[in-house]
Amino acid sequence: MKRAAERIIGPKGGAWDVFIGLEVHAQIRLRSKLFSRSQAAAPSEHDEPNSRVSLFDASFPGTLPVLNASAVDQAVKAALALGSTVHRRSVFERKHYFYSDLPHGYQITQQRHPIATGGSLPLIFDPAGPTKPKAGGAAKARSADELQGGSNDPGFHVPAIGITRIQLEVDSGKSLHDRKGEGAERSLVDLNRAGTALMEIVFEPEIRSAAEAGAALRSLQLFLRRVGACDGNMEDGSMRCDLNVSVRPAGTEGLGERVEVKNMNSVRHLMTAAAAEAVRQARQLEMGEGPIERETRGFDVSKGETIHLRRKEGSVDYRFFPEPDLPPLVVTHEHVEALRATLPELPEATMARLSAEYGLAEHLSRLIVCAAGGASDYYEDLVNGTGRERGHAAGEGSGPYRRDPKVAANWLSNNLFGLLKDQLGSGDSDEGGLERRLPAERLGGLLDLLSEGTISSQTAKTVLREMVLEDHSSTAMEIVEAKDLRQITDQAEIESLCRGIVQDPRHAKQLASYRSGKANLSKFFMGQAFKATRGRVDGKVVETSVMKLLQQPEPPAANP
Amino acid sequence: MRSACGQARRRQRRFFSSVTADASLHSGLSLAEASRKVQEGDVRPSELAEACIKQMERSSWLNCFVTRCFDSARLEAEAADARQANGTLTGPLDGIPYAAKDNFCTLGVQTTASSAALAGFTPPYDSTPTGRLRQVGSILMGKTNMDEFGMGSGTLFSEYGRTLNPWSPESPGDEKNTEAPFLVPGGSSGGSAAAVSSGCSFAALGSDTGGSVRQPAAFCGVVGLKPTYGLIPRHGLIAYASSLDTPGVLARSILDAAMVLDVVAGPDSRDSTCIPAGKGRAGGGGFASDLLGAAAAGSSSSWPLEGVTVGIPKEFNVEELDAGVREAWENTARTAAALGAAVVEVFMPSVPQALAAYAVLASAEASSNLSRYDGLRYGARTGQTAASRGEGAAVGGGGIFRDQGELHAEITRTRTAYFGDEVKRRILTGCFVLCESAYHDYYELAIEEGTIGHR
Repeated sequence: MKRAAERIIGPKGGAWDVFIGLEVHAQIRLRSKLFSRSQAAAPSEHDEPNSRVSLFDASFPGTLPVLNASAVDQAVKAALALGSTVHRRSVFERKHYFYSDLPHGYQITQQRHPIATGGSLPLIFDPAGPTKPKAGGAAKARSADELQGGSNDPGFHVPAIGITRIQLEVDSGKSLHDRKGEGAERSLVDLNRAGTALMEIVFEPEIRSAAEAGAALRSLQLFLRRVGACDGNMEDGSMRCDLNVSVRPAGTEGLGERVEVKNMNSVRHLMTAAAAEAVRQARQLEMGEGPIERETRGFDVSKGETIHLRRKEGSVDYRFFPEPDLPPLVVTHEHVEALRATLPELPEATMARLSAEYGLAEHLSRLIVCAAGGASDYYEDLVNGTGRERGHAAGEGSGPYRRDPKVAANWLSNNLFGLLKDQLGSGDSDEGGLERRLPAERLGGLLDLLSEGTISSQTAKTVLREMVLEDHSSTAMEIVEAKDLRQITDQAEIESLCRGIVQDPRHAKQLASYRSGKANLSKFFMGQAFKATRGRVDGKVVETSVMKLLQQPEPPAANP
Repeated sequence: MRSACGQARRRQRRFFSSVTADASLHSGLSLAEASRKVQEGDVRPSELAEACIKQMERSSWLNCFVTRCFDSARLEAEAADARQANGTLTGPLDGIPYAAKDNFCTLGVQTTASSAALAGFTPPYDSTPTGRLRQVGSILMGKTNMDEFGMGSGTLFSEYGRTLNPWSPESPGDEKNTEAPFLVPGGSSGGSAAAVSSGCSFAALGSDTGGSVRQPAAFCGVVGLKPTYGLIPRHGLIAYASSLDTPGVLARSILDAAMVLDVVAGPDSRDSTCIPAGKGRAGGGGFASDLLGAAAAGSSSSWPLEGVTVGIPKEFNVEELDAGVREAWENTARTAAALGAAVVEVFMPSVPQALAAYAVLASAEASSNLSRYDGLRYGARTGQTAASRGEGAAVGGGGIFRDQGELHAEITRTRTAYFGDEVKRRILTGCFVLCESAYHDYYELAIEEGTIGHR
């Protein structure tokens, strides 16, 4: 994948470089909150308000925070997955401001000594779009020797966005201003979310386009879901994002003044806001409307524009100081290494392995890794058979595979992903979602019928649609039997059928046209043959047969 | 040591006999003596509780208590009586009446930290120290008065009025004589110190952030134990300055204090700043038996303090020290030397800076810890009060904040109305030293001093 820095053009034709940084708040996947034992809010569930609130969450006098060790483990795993340095000693601090949904009057966060710094996020998602095949063809499959030699070079370049820091902090509650009804206006507070564990992941301003910002966020979702540290759903708020944008005249050095845009709640909004803000800055600079000033803006979804919220100079002094109720957090080297050992294969490595082991083109392995619902495990189950150990089967030619890897990959990318698109949106995080909707063994049975020649590829597509959308229990074979969809393989039968179609008086007109030079009409006759057989024929066989018939009695003058 | 304390003992005994003329003398017993009597069946816990109740009523002019728990105390005493009768007493503190400073959260008993901001606040949980005492069967007699949130050293800054020192020279017991030259009991645990000193309870819990147990104990002539930070858990102690707050014990003898310490000390999973189990004396327990063991070993010797070195910090001998206090101090040092101890002058050069460091750190943490009192979840709130008076406040108990400005105005009204002046002063000081522009010059400097002076 080539990484192109996108330049935007201002109203007077000037070219501008864009720099985008992200600050992502990811809710850590945990049963309880960061400093209390109350159940962590499940964003997708609609709980009774204030039903998941401990005395500490509501800041009752005398209560103290007790750090949830699992939250630390999750953050460390995320940090390791992103190649960040996990610090042996980190410090919680208090950040003060008064608000109705901040019960203590301060947020416990990490400021001067965060749990991790550095690292980078590989852009697994392609900013140019997730399904677009790249020119350049398949990555070269490598031999088992190469793989076992420990080389992890995928043979293609995945660019990465630098990470500044990862910090642990608590979420706030929610304020609700109920204006329904005359005289019954009330401000309400729900503390279910208060105290929920968040990781704030701050990126370097290295993102160079709105599309890349979207790809970065999607890639982050993929990494966090893979290590199980976060559900990564923006729709329900388990992942939220602020961005900062600056522009500079194309090709110059240094960075322009940056502007923060707060509270993106979907990848689409993030991309729209980033693009809109870059354009706004370029316009302001080109039209001589004064320099860009440091400010905080929001995003107006309906207008697709960013709007001014507050100037930075007027910002509050948060009076940070070390949280005296908690000793410094110490994570030992041994503990970090123990957690590293539990990390699953990361997306970049999976992508490289799929290409190397199964000979998949880069765009196919990328597509499978990026697809929702646990697609890479599903793919390997499909190729190797469910229950077989995944991976490490390469090196014995096509022998060890139960099904042709390329056929399987193409069936996923061309057929299955499209059929399940609505059910498995890009926001879907449920691992195993594909397997639940269509077990790999059922799809495998279908592909087997196809490769044996029991059904045609046309029929296979029909049966797949049936299995995904209608019939969730029958095997492919049962559907084929019940609907009489076996492929007609008898050569004589096909020839006789084709002859009937070519010689059908109702098709005399088309036949005449064909013979007068409209070569494309051969497709008409083939189509009729498919229709008559409900697709139960092999396309190539029909084509041969039809062409032979068309050319036989009166060989056409012009066409070869 | 015995002779040094003798004078005070005699005065105390005279005081008790004067205020408990016709009552049983149970409430004048030491905790250890009362405990022994309970264990041996000589006195019932409810007799002890009744003696304390009587004494509390007689001493009401001292204003030791914010809340008195006579009903619950009687129920707890009955339960202890039953355990005594069937031989299932839990230990030496079972059936022993005690008092707790009003900044220890007590299940079902109003806890205010002597602040109007927490008037009517009844915690749904017990602090670890009061919970542990409940567990062993001790009887909570009441919640003692204090300087609001522990900020003060005279028990003067309380929403519930000042507490008087039982050693006040003029007409103790005369409720009408409010003009007498009363003495302050010290503070902020002045209510606890006065309660123990006046025989209202056998011991009391206090808390010490910058001397708030030690100083009132000295003022009231009782033992004040401020243990190492982290020995007694802070869970349930309403925070003033978290990194300094130390629950402590006020009692009539060192042995009494050690017996209470045995119960309340030891790590708590709900307080991450406790000394971990297995480190030093963190395990709790054994303090009283160690003391008795040492006393027994020393009793046969004519030099019972041989091998003990007593340090006299030079910096504490300040010019302003009262002549009588200096004399008592010097007498005590001489007594220690006479009993075989090596008495040496020691130097603590960071002491002069300690007060400044304390002022910065304590007010910084106080400004943060008291942020939660915004009136939105518990405690007092102006909006409610105005609404209940029918004054139509902009925001009542169920109003709407149309914007952040309205919310902040309501929080400001509440905090202005319900915090006392001393608390406001310390919050302002704390906010200042934590400001970005002042942080380095004050907070960081204080931390540097603190790491030398503190702990």
